Amino acid sequence: MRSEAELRAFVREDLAAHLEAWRGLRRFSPPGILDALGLVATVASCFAAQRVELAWLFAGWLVLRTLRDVMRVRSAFKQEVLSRLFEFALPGVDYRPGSHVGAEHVEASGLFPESWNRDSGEDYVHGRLGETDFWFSELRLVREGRKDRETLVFRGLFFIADFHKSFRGRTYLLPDVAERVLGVLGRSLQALPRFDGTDLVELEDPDFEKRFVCHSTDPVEARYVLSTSLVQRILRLAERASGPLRVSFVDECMYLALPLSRDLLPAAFLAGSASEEALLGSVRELFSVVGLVEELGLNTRIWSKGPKPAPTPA
Amino acid sequence: MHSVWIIGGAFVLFALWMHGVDWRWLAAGGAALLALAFNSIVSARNQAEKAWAGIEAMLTKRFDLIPNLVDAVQRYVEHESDLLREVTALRGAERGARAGVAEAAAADAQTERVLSRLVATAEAYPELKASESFRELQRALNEVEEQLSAARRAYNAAVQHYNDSLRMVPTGWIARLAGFEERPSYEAPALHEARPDVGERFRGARRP
Repeated sequence: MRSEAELRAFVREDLAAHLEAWRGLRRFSPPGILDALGLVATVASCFAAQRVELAWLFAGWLVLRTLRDVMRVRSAFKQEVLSRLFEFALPGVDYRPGSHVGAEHVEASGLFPESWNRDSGEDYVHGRLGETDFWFSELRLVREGRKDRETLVFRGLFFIADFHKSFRGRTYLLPDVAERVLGVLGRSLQALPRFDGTDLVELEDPDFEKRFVCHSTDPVEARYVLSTSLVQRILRLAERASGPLRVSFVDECMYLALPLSRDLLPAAFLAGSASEEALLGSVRELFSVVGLVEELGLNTRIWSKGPKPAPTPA
Repeated sequence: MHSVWIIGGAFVLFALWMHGVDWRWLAAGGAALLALAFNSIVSARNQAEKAWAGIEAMLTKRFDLIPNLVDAVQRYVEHESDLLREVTALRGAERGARAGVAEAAAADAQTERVLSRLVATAEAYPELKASESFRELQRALNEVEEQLSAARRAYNAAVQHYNDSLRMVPTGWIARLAGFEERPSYEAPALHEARPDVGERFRGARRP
């Protein structure tokens, strides 16, 4: 990770030309033949035939054209400016603004037992910090019900990291809704046998137990994965999160779903949102997510485990 | 957890009795509740026994590492003969670990203390620290220590669940009649004092 002084120097010197090119995109594109023909036809029809339908069509065309231009500018900001800045800030990082973590990884994580049938997202990042590979993106999961009714299942950060210990089973930490709502009865319901082959695991930390319900295919392995220090780290992260945190340990990876009420890396359109401070703010956002690797102690590589291949983005 | 269902079931039987349901149905329901209570205690006891077997397996795994550890270090630390003798003698503690929970905890604490001294001593021998076989063994030892810690926590959780079922109503009444006895939890006080921070010591030695 680069220092702030290095980042500022990079923005002022190396990124200046790319920022200038991006600012050029923000200028209004000159009217084309279609615009001119549309304008003439609208004015002629309004005066000659007293018809206003064509005026509406022309207005619609102008709105669509403007939206397309805005999208192009926003996309270019991430593609041309942010990706260069991120590559400098965290050498070796792979940033793909239009991609997101694939649905197969979301399914493999087992973090959303509630059904969802549409996934979207952006800002896919893959990199390595120390000896830990990580992948994350903004993710949005939606369930489409009857009569085209949409329910938002999740919106936020979906983070995957190669876990530092070897394990074979599956362990899930989900928000403890049943116990919060139904008390002892909820706890008894959670202890009933489940169809996915997991059992309830009660961990020692009462604060952790209040916040999460832990299910695992192997109670000993769940405690091996969830060491007392990791439990504390996850708890600290959950206390800072704006919504219920979900964590799972599957296939030697740690999956984490952190709800967000705003965009992870907002795309700039106005000149002010591409200022030096705003750009450094985006890098700080990237560092804060990458910092999860250190925050969760995943770089403590004192166990005999090799690296894992990266998953492919959607 | 089963107590909630058993008490709930008893209330349902009571309500059925108030509504004049045939006594044979009530007797069958009562017998089913008794069976559920008895089975829940047996299940909790089996879980505790399974968790104990997990601790034994991990202790054995750690004892199995000791001869390899001695082989890896003795060439470098010839002057530490007392320590080497202590490490070698740990093999004898394995028998103690099989005698019971308290004995196993004592043997466990002793092993951890000696291995922690060995790791600390290795710091003074750069050649040993750099030896690939020693580093591999250290990684394996770290893994076993973590697995052992998980097995201890799983055992204590299972024992607590079992002992709770012996103390709670109505499972406690049935347990007393059937002669179930409480199990001791795995207490290892010396462990916390002498627990080696192998992770911190090992941080400098990266995998190639």
